[in-house]
Amino acid sequence: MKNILLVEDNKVTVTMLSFLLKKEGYGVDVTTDGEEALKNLKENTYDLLILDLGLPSLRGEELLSMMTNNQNLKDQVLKTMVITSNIGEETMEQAFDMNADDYLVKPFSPVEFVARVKRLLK
Amino acid sequence: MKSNFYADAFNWVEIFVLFNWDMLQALIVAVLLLGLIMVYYFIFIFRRINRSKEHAKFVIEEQVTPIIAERIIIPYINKVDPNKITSPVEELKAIIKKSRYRREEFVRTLINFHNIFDGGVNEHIRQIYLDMGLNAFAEKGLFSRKVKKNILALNELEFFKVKSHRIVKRITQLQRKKKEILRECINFYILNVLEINLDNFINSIQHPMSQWERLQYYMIITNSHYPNIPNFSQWIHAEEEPSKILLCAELSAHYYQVEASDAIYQLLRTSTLPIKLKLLNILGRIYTDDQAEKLKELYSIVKSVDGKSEVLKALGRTGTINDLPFLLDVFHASENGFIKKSALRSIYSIDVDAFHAIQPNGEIEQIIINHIKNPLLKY
Repeated sequence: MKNILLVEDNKVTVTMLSFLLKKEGYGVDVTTDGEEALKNLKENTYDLLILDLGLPSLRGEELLSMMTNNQNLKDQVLKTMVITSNIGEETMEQAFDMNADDYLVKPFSPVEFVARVKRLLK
Repeated sequence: MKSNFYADAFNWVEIFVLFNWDMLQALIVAVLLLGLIMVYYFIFIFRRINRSKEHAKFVIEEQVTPIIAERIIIPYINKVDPNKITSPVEELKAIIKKSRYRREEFVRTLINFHNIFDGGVNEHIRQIYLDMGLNAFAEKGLFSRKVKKNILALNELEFFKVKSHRIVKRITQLQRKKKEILRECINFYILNVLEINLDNFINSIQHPMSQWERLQYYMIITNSHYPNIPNFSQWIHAEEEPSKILLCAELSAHYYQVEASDAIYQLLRTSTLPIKLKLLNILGRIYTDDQAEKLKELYSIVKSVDGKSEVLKALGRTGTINDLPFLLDVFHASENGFIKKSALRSIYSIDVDAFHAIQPNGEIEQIIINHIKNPLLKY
């Protein structure tokens, strides 16, 4: 079973997305802040990291940047998908510069979300 | 006055001495005890309310999300016919019961779903809100005497696009209220939900709008699909309120109503500098055949450095290679670094090769050229 780490601070979003992912047959770990996500990444390996950029304590961009610069951390995750409410092109460019594999702007279609996850984990 | 004070104080001391000391002590202790009981009572009540809210939040998060996911989102993903996706109203009602906190938390959760997902899912979410009759509670809030409740109700009704004659009647009454923020919310509701004639709406704006309010109207109008877009230049004249002029000028630029250009030129003669600067900026987004010539003429008339700079920037956006000699002249002739920079930036916008061919006269011009070349320095 493929494992996903879902990092998102909004409890409703987390519950909904993890429900959809579990329904698709993926194993899902959930965290609501960046520090906790970092801890999870140090301890476990994941096939996909779904990361919201607007996190408390350690922001999503910082976590991405740490992963870019730290090989050990980078090896813990095969693919990264960024989700954000920010529609700015700069943020998107920055995310791809930091090796994000996919980028999804909220609000998005659940069909698109599931399809993109499936494609990344193919 | 002073002697009166001493006389009063003396009387109090006398009363104090005459009064039974034990009684006084007992009274003080009783008052303190009562105060303490009151404090504990309020702490208890607040903690109880908070606990109820926390519990309501927990229940809604744990129970509602799976139901919505299972009954709405999964069928939607599996491309089930939208008419066959039914709102799980009874199940949800059984969770919410008659609890106010659960109801409020449920509405917040629906709004959250609305913010995560787009498209057809949102229509189902809205249908759940309506099928459960939650709009009735928001409408009740609209009739409250408290402005805060009115605003929260309006926001909710606007979010779920609920409209009825009763609401329209009430908001017509509320429009007469003095609270600016309330009137602002009413206007957002009118634009977003009632989809009224834009002519009537803009005519109805009589108050000075904040930048935020203006931006909101601009976004609502430009993101909606109005069948009839009015000619916004009809409101670009000196008799109108300045913030309304700016909103209409911005909308003219968005809808590319080139006739607004003449109205703006007329207004530039009379308006104040801050408005003038904003209008010049807008002018730079409306291209007409004679725009460049008019701007060059304006450059010699405008006195302030900021004004001249805005004219040059506008020329950079609407000008062609024919305007490069003028900009180059300004760049070399002006003694003001800010103006030099604006002229050079406009040259860069029109023709990058022409920019690279420029030979600087002195150290300052070289610095400005380097500045424009550097993509990390924001202009």
